[in-house]
Amino acid sequence: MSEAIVLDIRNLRSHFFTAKGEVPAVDGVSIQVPPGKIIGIVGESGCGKSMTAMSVMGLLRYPGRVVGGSILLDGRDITHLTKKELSQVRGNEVSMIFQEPMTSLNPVYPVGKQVREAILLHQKMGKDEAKARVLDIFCAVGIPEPEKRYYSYPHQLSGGLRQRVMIGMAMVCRPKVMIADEPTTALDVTIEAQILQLMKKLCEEQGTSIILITHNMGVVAEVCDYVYVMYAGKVMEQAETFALFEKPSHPYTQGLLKSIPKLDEKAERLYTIDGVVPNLLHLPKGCSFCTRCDQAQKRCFVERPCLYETAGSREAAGQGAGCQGQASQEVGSREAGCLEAASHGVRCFQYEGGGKLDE
Amino acid sequence: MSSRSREEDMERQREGGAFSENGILPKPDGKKVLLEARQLVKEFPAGGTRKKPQVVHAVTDVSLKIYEGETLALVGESGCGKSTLGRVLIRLLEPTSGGILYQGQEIVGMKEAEFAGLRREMQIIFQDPYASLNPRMSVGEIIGEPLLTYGMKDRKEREARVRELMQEVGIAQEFYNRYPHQFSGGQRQRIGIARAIALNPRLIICDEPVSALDVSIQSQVLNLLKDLQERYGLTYLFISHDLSVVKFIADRVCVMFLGSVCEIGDTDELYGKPLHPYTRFLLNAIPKADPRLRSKEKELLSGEIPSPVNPPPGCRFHTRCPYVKDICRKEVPECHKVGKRRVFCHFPLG
Repeated sequence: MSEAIVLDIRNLRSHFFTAKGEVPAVDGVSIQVPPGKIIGIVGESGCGKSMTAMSVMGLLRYPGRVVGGSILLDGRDITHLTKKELSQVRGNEVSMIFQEPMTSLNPVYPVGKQVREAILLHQKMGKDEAKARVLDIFCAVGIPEPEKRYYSYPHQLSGGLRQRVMIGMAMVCRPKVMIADEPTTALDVTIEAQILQLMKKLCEEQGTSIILITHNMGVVAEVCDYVYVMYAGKVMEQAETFALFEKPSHPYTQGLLKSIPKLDEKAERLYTIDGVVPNLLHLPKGCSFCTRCDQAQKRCFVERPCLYETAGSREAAGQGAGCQGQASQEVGSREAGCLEAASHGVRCFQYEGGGKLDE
Repeated sequence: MSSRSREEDMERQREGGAFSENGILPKPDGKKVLLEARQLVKEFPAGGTRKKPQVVHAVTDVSLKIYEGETLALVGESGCGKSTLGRVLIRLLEPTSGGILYQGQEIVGMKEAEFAGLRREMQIIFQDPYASLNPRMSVGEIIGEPLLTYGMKDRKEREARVRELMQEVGIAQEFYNRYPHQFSGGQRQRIGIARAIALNPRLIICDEPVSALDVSIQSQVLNLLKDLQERYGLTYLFISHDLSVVKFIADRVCVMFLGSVCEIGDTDELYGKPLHPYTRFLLNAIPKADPRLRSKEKELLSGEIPSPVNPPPGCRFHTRCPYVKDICRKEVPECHKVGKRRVFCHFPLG
């Protein structure tokens, strides 16, 4: 099964060792990324979605570090690589796009050179050849007048164009996985829609898998194939996108979806999830959502639920993969891997009947 | 309004929330115009040379009316001038030209002493709950400051009113002496709201009040704003780029593009049948939280927003509009009235 999964994050735990105590920012997260698919990680701020990405990229800095679990990239564990080995993986096999394109580009170099640097670092290529490659990728990501833009500085470009440059930089080495951390949050809706479509197109054309981190359920519904909903460092629910929106099962997911104002209905009041995200230093003893859950039982406050598989999720996943996945037919043997990733798991005692997916 | 004496002001304050029932202000019926903008223009200097100075045309010839008790939303992409317009309307910025009538009274050019009495009736809630509260003041001081400024000198009286306000917006009273950094984003926004309603204003400019908040917190704050409006008959100018939030909270919507108005109309009508091409593309572009609505080839707007320093002549939107004709490049479209809607387009969609 593992050869079908490009990136396999297993029971990853990243903790921060602060003066006030140990903060479990990522607490046993397992995510499977099949080739050529877009995986969404959603959650509110502080739920650990960015920290999961940083752990994969080996970018966690003191006082944080990965304390357990493994990250397999094509079957090879990348959690304990040396700096040198890591820099060959980073930007080459796995790349990342950040939320704010202004702060992630160097203001004193032309953008073309910055993108070219990525090629020169990772591939044996002459400068002129690399430049031609950059111009190609600029065309692919929809930057008008690439020849001219090659010599532009970041401040001369608009937010949308900067993000296109970032995507170009991330795609230029044809990575296996691209992690996009809130890539459209700083952009306007009309530009956001353009960027999302671009990412989807690249994903299909080049077979790159994308991990899309966002807080916006709309973005997830628009482009993702599978979704992981995170809360307080844990995956609360995982499912194929259509299944998740059709039948959100975890009370938290249900709450999130209900609290978004809808365009097609006029509500007098919005549904709210009471309270705030708990402090990770003082998590409740049982389920981390129990203090805000409207369906909580006595047991939820004492015991920690596992990730349970919902009844009938296998068949549903099979149908889902069959009806919309031309990609999965092409890869044939990888089908089984896709199914594995698509099983609908919920971290809630209500679904205890199903098999355990972790612990 | 300006003739109201200080005693009366204090009276209003003591009665706190009761003032809308006690006859000083009749319950709004949504027909009286509270604020009217007439051909407002706001330009900012943007360098250039002395011979050829450049200006940013932030707001160009905007006229609109805000009725008492309603929520008017200003929507548009960043840089379209919606925040500038909001600030100009309550004279936090002076307009370059044009007029603003508050309850029929011209407030542009009014003397500061005279305007002070009116200013308390117009408050503002800011986008960033981290930057808009002074980190060195306690919650009690922050909410109490406008009360002090407007003459509530007695400390005990002020504290009582602040506690009342805290309860109103849902902050526990034991937090009276805490500092902003001890609160989460949602709670800080509640503090900002308490400060804004402290003086019993009529009009509140809500400048992207929920865009910095998480989804689950966002709905709490939106509900609070709606409750307060009902209780005190407040009028909101709600500035936002999030069209689903606007759909929930607004009675009427004004869509802006590059400093000028595209379309104004009732929320349901405007969402149901946009008449300006820009409105339609804006509505199309929102990612909807339902994968079944996913469309293979979405009709998307191409290109970027032109620079407000050299806005395109004619219709501001013509560089991105797929239906552009010759006349759009030359002439600024006039206002077309379609029912209660106003559309600024040469060829409104049918």
